[in-house]
Amino acid sequence: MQTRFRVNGANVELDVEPRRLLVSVLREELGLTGAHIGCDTTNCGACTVLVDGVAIKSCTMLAVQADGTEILTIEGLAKEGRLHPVQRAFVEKHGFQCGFCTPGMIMTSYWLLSQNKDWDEEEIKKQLSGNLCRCTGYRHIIESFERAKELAREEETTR
Amino acid sequence: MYPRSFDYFSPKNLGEALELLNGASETKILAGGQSLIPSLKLRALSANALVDITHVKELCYVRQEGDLTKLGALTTIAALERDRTVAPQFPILREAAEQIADPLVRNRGTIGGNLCQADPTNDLPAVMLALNATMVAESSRGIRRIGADSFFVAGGRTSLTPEEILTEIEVPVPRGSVGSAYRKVRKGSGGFSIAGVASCLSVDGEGAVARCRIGMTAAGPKVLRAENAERALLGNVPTDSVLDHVAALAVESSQPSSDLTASREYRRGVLHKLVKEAIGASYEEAMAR
Repeated sequence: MQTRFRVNGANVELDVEPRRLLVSVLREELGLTGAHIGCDTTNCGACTVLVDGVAIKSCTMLAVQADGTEILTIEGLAKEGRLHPVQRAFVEKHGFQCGFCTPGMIMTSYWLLSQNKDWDEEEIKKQLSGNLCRCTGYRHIIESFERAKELAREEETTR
Repeated sequence: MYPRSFDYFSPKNLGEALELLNGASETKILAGGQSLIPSLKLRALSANALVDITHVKELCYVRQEGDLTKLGALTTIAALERDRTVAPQFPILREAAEQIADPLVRNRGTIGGNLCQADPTNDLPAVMLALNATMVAESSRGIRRIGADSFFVAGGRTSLTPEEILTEIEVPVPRGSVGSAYRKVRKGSGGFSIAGVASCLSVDGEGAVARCRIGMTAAGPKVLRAENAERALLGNVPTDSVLDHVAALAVESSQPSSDLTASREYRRGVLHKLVKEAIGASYEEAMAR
């Protein structure tokens, strides 16, 4: 089935079986292996990408449903070799160990930042509850998100 | 795992969608897919064809029309959670929405999907029972209104025919001093209900409960109404001992199962507490109005 969408600013046109999941098509047809398949049961969020600006689990969306949409994956965050503030924050605050959940954590963080809301720690935990991490115990992930907020604010004021 | 192969249709409007359902066999509606796709991947469900209605944008709304609050079936759970115009009249809607799964799942999952999946662990069926909502079902032949009490037929089955799509949920706007609440204990990962209780009640001039409805999630093979418990609450002020008695009746009428998530006994214990909490919170809100 012909499916047309945009990924990280580029047009894509593919012929995929309707039963293919978005995460598989991103990884296998488009080589965008940043979205990970961690659980296959819609729990872990390692497959998180943005579709039309909204963070979703790409393992729970058919690729054909992406027709006409604008998709952003982890590969689309860095601009001309410069990491996005969210990515820099995760590096700075060591927000990962094995890195498997990290693209998902970063994409959800990116989505949260785009909402321009000020969440306290309890709310951050709730907003990140769709992304599971088996390594870190989440403390550094939360600190990375808070640092990302600061960096994003700095970038805005220096523009 | 990959689902079994199916044909896929993506109608642009409701009329097209309904046409596709006529005479179709083994065809399922795909909305947010947050219940359907996991089931297809596990091969717990299969379909010859999926009719994807996510482009039927006219079914996404939360609005007031006279004395009815109308929820479009394709409204996402996230949109319901965020709604500040209509939903504040019913704290139960936001309380239930914000406890479903996680934010990412809520970004795609829909009210209609949660209701039509009708798994006993889905949260919105109990909410609609408590609110005495009416489901609006459309087919090529016309429109049918189905009361919540007759909508949930069995675990995983509603009274919709294969040619019908749930398009809207009508919730009567409460008159007088009304309060509602949803209380849930959930499994850590995935947010599935171990047990959940939805309550909606009104109080009279003396502070006694005049009307009430109680729905229970994950308390049986399908969503249940605790009718004996409701009868025991009517005409009474919910003191602690009244609540204990009402909760005991609710638990007695429940048929929870034991599974990997929780034992029958644990579920019963949790239900008892949640009935008291939900009614307590509903009562507090009703008295404050």
